[in-house]
Amino acid sequence: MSIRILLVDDRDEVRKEMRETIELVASGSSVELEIEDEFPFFSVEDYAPFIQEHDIHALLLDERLSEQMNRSTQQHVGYLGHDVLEKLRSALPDFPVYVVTTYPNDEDLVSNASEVEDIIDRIEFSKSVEKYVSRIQRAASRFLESRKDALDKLERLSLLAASGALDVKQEEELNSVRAFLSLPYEEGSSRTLSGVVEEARALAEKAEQLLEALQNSKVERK
Amino acid sequence: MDRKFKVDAKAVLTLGRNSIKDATTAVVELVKNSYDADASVVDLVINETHPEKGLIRISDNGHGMSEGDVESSWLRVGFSEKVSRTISQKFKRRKTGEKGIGRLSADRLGEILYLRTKRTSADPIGLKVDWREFEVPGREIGEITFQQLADANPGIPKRAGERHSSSGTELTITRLRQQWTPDDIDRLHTELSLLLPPYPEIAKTFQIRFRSDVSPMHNGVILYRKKAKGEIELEAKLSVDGKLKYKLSYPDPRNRKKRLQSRGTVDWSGVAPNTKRRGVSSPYRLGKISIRLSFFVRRSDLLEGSGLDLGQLRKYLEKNVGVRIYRDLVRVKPYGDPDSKESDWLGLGHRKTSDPAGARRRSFKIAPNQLVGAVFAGRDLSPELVDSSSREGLIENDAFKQLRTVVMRCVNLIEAKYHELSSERPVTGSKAGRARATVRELAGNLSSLTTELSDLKSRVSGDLEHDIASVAEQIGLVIEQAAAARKEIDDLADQNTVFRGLATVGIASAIFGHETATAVVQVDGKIRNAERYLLQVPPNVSRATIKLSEAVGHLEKIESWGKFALLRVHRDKRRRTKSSITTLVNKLVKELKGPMAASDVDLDVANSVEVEVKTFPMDVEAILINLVTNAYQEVKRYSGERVVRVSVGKRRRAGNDGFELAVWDNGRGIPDEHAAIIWEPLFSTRTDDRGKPNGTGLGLAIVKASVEELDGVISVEKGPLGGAKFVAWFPGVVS
Repeated sequence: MSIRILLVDDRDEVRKEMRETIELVASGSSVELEIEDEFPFFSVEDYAPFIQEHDIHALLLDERLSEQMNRSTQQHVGYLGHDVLEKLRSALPDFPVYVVTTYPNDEDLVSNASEVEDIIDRIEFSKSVEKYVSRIQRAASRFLESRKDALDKLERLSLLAASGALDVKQEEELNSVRAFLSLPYEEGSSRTLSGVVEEARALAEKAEQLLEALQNSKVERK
Repeated sequence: MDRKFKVDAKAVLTLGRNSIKDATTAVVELVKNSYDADASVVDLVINETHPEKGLIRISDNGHGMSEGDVESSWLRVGFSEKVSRTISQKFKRRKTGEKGIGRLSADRLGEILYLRTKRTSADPIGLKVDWREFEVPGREIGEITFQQLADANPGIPKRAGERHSSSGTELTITRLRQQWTPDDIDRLHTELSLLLPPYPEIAKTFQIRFRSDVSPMHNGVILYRKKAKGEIELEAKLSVDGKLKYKLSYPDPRNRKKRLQSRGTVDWSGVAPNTKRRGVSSPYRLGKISIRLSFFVRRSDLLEGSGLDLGQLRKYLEKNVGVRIYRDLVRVKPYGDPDSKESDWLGLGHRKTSDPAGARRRSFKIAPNQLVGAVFAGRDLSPELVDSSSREGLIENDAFKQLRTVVMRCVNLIEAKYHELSSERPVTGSKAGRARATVRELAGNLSSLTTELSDLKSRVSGDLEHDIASVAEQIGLVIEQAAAARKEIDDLADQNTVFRGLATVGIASAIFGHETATAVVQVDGKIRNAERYLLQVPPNVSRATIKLSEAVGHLEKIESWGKFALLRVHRDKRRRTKSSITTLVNKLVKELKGPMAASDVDLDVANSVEVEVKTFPMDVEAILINLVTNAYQEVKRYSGERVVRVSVGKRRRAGNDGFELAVWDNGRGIPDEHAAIIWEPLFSTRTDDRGKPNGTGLGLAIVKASVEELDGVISVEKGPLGGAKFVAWFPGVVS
């Protein structure tokens, strides 16, 4: 099982060094760790889609993201680390996020502490990398596991929904799983599916009845 | 039968005695004769205890007289060769006596005169004149003969550094007519020291060596009074057409150790009274005159740095106050003599009493005890200024009245200038500087008041004297307290300077702090990674080495911040020194450039001109660092190009030399409504994108305080890059 971690920092050297450090530390672990390091995305809205598309299991994020510019676009981002959390949480409520920063006591960051797994002082991270990497690995694994469970459940419940055998409780569970997996759905859509199936069955029955009636009618004329 | 006048011998004495006011005048006249005789040294001895009923000896190394000179000029009463030969041969001195009766001064001093004189390459002549013979009634002057002296050789004084003269004159007077007291000696000493104007180029050619057994404290070479520098000095010259050209020098209000000058010219029509009404000036009769006046203020604060304290100034003024007249460089008594009714011949006392307005009023008038001066006229250049027959003073003709007018015009110029300087209130300057100035002025005014009270006390008695003494004592205590307050202000100002420096270091951490913290983390991380590489099996030495060298690079960044912080409050920077502002700016920009680039802020010097000035480097640095930090914080708020520029150059402002420091950026500038209050402590326009204030509010307050401490001016305007441009101007001599 491979854990994928995303590192986001506007300073190339810092990001590269952190990546190197985590890889070094994690190299002895039984869990395979894959690191992706990225310059901060153009917009806070870009994080959730990226995480989902790239199957990321944990995020390590710097707070001061606007110090250095993107060399390609020659632009600085216009937000800070804690600004990412709001958007991210609405899409990925249980996704592990760690903020690694030189300013762990920043007021705005601290006020968003409940949205993150931990706010880590950069120097503390450096001194206790092994401890933090283990912690991150565990959180990422848990997230991965919960995601896997949810996918299995989704499959099972979707089949039930397709066969029209979904009860109310199961429908709620299916919606919940969909929400967990950030899949788009409408309220009552499983009922709609059953209804369609039911309707199709009813139509099929009716069609059978009509066919039977026709056949019977043909026989009498003879 | 041819008849002719006969002259009683006594008439000659009467002429002499009436022409010479007192013994002091008589001695001075005889010394003047030595001056006219081109002597470089005169020995004057007054010996009260001499067995011949006292003795006065005046001996010089002048040109002396031959037998012919004695016969044809010295013995001819009323004749003076100074009428035909007005300029002395050797030193080109304009000769002083013209009436030919100066020699009669000897009679004023004692009954017996021994004249010994010798010209170079001639035989000496010696005569004994017994003035008692002139007092015999009915005796004609021609009947009196003088005893020839066997020993006719004069005792010729030798001046150090000169060759012994072979010519000279010695007058020895015995059977003195008066007893010389210490007061008389003191007065004589003063007269002789004021004989010539106190300017070294004149005084050094004529030396008077004085010795008496009455008041030995005055024995020695009579030194011409060194002139103290007044609060305002005036030098003026009048041309033959009455045009007055003057130069005033006075302390720079911003820096009393420096003196400023102003010059001007006034036509005679502007100098003479009532000219405009009549439409025509009275013709100028005075000739070429020059005037030097020194105005003194008895305030301890204004004496700071002058080398004089109030007590010394008082003593100086007691001896020297008054405007004296010199003709051909020899004083014309009694103008400016403190003990004479002509001491205040300009009427300054009466003017002051009529209008005692202080310096801040337009009608301010100088008091007579505040002015020391000299008026220089010449017999040839101002022929209409004529000696009165009493050998004292001048005839008060039109020329003399014009002289008074001209000198008063000069006094008016000084009064106007002092009023102008007293009325100016510094609008710039730090709070500490203004507080110091206020306390200093207060102490100065109180000390002046104490002086006046002291003078008053000597003129009253009884309870009033006691009350005045008590008030003076109270004022003395207040002055002490003012001095203590000033010291405290100075100490607090010094502390403030250091605090501002330290605060600036703190503010600059906005630039350095993040970088340094990141560097510390990088060093830590890289060293640990190096360790990890080395613990691998097999050890990855090359990778470890790379990590360690990367760590060293970051250590250097940490070191540079440490140095930056420590150097900001270095002791040397707290002293006023000659500094190259350009070098200072370039150095600081170089130090800040790297850390600022880590946040993509491009800092550079836009243009600089070599500027050197005496200033406090710590304050200039604090100003620059705060302005640059301010700009850095501003531009970091925005994406894209982040530019901060600095410039330094020379600039004159309001007629003063100075230099200018400017910092500008490509931010969004200062909103108009904030322009006035951005300098207030704890006010910040800086907000984050949620509108939350995130500046300290101290940077610009420190800038303003530091600029004012250096007597500068700070302003903000829209800069060329669209953001704010801060411009600080400082006065100073720029090289």
